[in-house]
Amino acid sequence: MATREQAKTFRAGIPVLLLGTALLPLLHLAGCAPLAPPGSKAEQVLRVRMREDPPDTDPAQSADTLSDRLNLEVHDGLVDFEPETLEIVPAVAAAWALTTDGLEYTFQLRPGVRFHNGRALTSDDVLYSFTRILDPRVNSKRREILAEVKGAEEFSAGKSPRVEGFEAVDPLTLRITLAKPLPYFLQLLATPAAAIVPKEIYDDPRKGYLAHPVGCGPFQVGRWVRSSFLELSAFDGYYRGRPKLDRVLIRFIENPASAMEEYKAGGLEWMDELAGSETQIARDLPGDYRKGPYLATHYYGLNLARKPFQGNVDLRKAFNYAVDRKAICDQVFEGNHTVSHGILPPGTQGFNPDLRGYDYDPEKARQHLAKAGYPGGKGLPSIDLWVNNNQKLVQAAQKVQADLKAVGIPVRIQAVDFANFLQAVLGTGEAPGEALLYKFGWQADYPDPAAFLYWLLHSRNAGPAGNMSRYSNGKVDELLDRAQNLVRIEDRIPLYREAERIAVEEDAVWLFVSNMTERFLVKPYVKGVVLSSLGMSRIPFDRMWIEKPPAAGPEKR
Amino acid sequence: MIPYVLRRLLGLVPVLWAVATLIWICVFLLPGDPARLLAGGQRSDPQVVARIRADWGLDDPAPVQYLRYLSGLARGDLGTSYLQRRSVARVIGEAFPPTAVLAVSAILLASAGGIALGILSAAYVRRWLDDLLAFLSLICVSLPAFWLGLMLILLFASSLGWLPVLGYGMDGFRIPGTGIRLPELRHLVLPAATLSLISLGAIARITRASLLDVLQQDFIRSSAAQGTAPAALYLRHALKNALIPVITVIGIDFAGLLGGAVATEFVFAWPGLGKAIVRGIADRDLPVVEGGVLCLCLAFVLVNLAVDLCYVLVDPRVRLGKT
Repeated sequence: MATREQAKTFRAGIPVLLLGTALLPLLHLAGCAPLAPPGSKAEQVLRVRMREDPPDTDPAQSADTLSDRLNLEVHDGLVDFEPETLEIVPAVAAAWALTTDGLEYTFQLRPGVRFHNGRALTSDDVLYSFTRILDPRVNSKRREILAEVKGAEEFSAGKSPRVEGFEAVDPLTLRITLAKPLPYFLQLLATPAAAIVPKEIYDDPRKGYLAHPVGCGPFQVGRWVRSSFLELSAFDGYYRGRPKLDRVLIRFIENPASAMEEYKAGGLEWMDELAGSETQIARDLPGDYRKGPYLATHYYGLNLARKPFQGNVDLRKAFNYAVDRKAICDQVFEGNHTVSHGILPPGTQGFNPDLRGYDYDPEKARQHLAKAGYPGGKGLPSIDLWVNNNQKLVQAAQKVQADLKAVGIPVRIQAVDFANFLQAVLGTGEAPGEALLYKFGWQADYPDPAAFLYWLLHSRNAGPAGNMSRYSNGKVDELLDRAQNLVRIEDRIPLYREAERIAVEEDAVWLFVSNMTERFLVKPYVKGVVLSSLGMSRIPFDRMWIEKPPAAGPEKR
Repeated sequence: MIPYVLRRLLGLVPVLWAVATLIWICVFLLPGDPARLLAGGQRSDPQVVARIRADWGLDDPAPVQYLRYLSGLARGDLGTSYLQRRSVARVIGEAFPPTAVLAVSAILLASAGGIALGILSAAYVRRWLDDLLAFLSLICVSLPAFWLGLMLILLFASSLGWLPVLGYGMDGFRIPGTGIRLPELRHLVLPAATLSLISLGAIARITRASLLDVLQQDFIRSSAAQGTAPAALYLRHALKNALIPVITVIGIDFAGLLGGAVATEFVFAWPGLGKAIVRGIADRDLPVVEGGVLCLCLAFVLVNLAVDLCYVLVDPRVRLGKT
């Protein structure tokens, strides 16, 4: 119980407390002098917006664009993609040779490659990193990139203590033997998951590498304050030469509208996931707005394992003819998507410009609807269109809903969060999910047509592996299998084109909508920006530099 | 007072158990599979998903999962974040201080401003200033934090350039031995102002009403008749007696701000607990959601206890624990 004296003291303090509080804003304002920009003097700093902290700093688990962005700056693999041309170029491996049967790769490592902790990289590190991806205890999400290595399956199943196809010939030479030819194996080795990591760091049972990843890439991880920022600093010992940027400051800003204001105020040099009208942004910031091709497709999946789409190709064609894709691309995506006539986006090896797909033709849609057994939509139950809760995607879904309704197809929109959406689409076990119609996007990790067609169409991948529609056509499977076993891309392309034609024109496996582009803002004084159709995470920071330090602004961090 | 506080603290145990159970049930019933998201989302290997389920015990029957959760809580273990793979206590330890700093700053600003405006309103009752302040208070109460925050950014950061747009700052003071990093003051201004304006209106209205009520009482009339100056009358005599309902509102608002700052945190990229919980829900990082909500509930209960104690300090007639 408080004494009267204590109460008196407290009461006497109230005015002081109130006065102090009232003065707080003034104290705050006193500390508001503009900071000197971090890029002042000769220091080269790039400030980048990222939506949130990258979830997986372990490259073996890297399965999202944020993690890929970080992992590609911190780590390197044996080979890499040239960002613009997507050609395979040497990285840690200086050269390689492939036997004529397409089974055995011998890699010669560059001498003098070092990890951020100073230790020299050897072929043992490469094999450690690759074995780790296949190790069931690691539970890697990207096991598929090495699944075709000889003995990989036995090792992952615990039947063998080592992967038979891995061999360190000497400290700078290693050999990888495949169980069967895989023509795009080098492309898989250029994905972020195939990064080379030091054993002494990544064997840590306490997993300290999650907070402080160590690699041999151009930047090393410095301070990381969760939900605030992550600092990357140039690695002096980088084998391709120290990056021109001294630091990359990744700032975690979830709200795109706030990030846009921060960008305009000069607190960011780079931002993606633009807020508001992109037409307006492009008009307001013409020197900053960049747009490039993106190997990604946007479509509405049809659940082929359930009625009414199961076994009813006319109904699927009716859906395709009913929707005005161009209107979606122009009105919802402001011209930043292009109409897709098939599965492969332009720029993918094997893209077929002659594939016609489906034009917007409501009359044909009605005819196919009648042939499907639902004349004028009679007897067709209302179908839920599942979409991830995102403003643009919901707008696109509303357009699809209106177009389908115009030909008599009743559709309800279910806009839910991503976890809920996945459960509806994929189900929880072997059985397909409840979603009959759902918006999906697919982006390639590598430019080979298999990155789309094998994963999205082969019945072996039905379900969560990629073929979420659970499409199954023996002829398509056979074409895809044959294409996988041929070495020359020229021989494979006709097979892929035929498989795609069947899936699109004969089977109408999805409701095809659009191909995406990549858009972002970068300050004009940032030079050396090289676009990549594999997405923004593939645009290398180590090639960039700041031509002149930004002038001091109100907020620079 | 000490026995009363101890009694109240002991009473927290069943409250927290009930809250923890409710949170666990809500989180358990959330649709969406955390293992699927952890395994890579749309492209997930079923074997990897199965191993993740087994590793985290997500394939155990519900009662087993519940008992594991409760036994962890009893040991003070809030679990491990699925996504960050570090203890939830650490995640909360990093995210709660920014939220607390924001809420404390906001409630201080709101209290100072709200009480001052309430006194002014009462002093000019039924005159144009009272009407104007009533109108402004209503606007403050009605403004959504999301919109207000963006407007303040546009005005004070984008147009005038006086304040940073967002963020917590990189060079805030670090409290030695705690790992707690305080924000840079200039980064605190806009989020605290955004959050405070919403409470300010309510505090101003309750201060005005309470003050007008006290001003009708006999001791004030006799004091006025004895020639006490109006300022002293309002501030020394009336305000003291009008503070009890104001403290109640401030307490409730403060507790609400702790859990309700999420929109402000989102707009200003503030690394707080509200944002961590919302992200946890989106990612189905269930231990973070459970631990975060429990932490906010605990803070809510403790703030209410503190408010009860404040009554005694403000008004000696109040006796705790007695009817």
